[in-house]
Amino acid sequence: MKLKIRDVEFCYKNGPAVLEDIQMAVGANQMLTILGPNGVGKTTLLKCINGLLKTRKGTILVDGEELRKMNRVEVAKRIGYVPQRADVSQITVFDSVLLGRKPHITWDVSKNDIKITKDVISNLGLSELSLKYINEISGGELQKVQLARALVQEPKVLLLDEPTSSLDLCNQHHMMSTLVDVVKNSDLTAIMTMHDINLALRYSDKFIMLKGGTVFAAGGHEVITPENIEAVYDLPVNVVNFMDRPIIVPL
Amino acid sequence: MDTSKTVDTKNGDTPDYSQYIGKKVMFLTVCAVVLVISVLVALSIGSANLSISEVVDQILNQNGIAWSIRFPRVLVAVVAGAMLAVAGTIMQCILKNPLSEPYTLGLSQAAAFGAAFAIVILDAGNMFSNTKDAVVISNQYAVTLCAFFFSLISTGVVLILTRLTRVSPEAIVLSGVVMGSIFAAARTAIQYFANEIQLASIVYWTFGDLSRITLDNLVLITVVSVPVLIYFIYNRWNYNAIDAGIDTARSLGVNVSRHTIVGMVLSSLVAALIVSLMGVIGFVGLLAPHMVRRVIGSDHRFVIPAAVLVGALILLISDTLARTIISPLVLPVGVITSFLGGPLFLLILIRGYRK
Repeated sequence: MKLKIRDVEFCYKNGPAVLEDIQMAVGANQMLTILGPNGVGKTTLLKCINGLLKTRKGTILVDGEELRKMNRVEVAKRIGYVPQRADVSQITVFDSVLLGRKPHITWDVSKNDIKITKDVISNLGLSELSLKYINEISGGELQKVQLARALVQEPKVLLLDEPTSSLDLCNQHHMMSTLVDVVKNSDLTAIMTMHDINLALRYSDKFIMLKGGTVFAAGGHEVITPENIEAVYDLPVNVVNFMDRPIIVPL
Repeated sequence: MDTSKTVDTKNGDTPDYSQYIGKKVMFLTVCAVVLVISVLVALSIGSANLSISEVVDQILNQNGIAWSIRFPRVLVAVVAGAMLAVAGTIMQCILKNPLSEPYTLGLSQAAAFGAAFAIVILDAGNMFSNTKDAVVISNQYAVTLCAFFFSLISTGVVLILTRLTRVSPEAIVLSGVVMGSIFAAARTAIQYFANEIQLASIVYWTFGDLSRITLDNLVLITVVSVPVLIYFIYNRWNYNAIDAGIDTARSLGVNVSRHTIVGMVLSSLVAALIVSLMGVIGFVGLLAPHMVRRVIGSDHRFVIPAAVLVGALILLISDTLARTIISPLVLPVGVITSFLGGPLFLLILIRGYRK
């Protein structure tokens, strides 16, 4: 398994546990979606994985190496993170993506850093925007820039917090298919949080459903049942099949 | 874009990107050239006008008015302007607030309070006139030390409050504004009890003025500034990462809290040193970074050196104007920088509001 999480527990400043008994295992070339209602701890879990939040206990292993024992830079070489919102400044798309090489930079960027950046920008179809300032591009393009920045980190695991939340229908699918391409064609694992269960069903291989700060259900598409969704979201739903795809319909 | 056209196989770079970087380097070069020309012009004009060749001759031979009187003052303007601009640049980045600079964060008010405290309570305020136009505070040493001490206290309190609030940029800015108000109120209280001469000394001190600086002071400022500037340049990628958002920066391996605290301490230290030696010089830390960002963007690889050059240029031009505009009277340079900076401050506010 590329990423293994065992017995992870997190709380804010000796308060009650926000997350407890979190178990997760994801292989290479797989996409896992964390599902659950607002405030259940999805983003908190992502931040625990990449060390932005310090877990109280548990182990987080990437390729068998314990992340909690590594310094920030070592973690950054293994985990890429695409936050839900990023601050935009007057910096070009190219420089913004190049920033992803930060964990690898000692004094200044090397020719190799520039080459990797150029390749990723080209692969994600951002070449035409590369000299535009990021405060002048659209939300969908900015989301791709953030993905590109995380990819030039050359991580083993990619964490994405609501990668499609600010995108229109077309850009949502474009973003997700780009992500699938990247994950399937490189030795990468993606873990994301998402509210749109239908979008997750279409693009994700595995799911974990959080309820009350712990894992309620985990597995493949089979865990997305009306019973589980109702238990987690407190909303009755039906699952219908449309063109051989399960679609969640709230009742 | 057709990538086959853009890939330069020799270095993996894109010609477009090289051109783009080239433009920024060109901007820095132009600023450097303009600064050198401005230095020569500043050395040549004054109560006795010299030609540029006379200036060069006097500087090379280390004699004459250009060398002995104007050169130290011009150097002070260059070093102080550069470092006030860099302090503003770093504060704006780490505090994520475009209006942050030593002046707006209360540091100058604290220094002014320190000066007032020394003048009234420590009785360092006996003024006398040493030439027709200049006024000197009798115990400059005590005034400077007090100004420095209180600006550090202000910064220290802001940082302690910040630690308590887990280093939130908003908390730093607000604490700075509050400390500035407290010190301004305290200075008003001291002024209320001051006699006429002390009051005149306090008012005189708050006019930023480069003529107060001795060569020793200049050496001190430079010795402190150079390592600080090297530290800031070394961390340019960290500042770019912080610009991209705190979570993004941390996920790129940047210790944001450490850079915020160290950046604040170092930029405050340099600004406190300059302000306590020269008096209040506002807006250079605001004006220079914003001018630079409007031209070359926010990439700190270029913004820091450009702010150094433009800050030096602003203070040098302001000082040259201050001593020539109504010659033989010399205006306090703080008046000129505030006249330039005030409208820009308003412009930034209006632009921010429009967004």
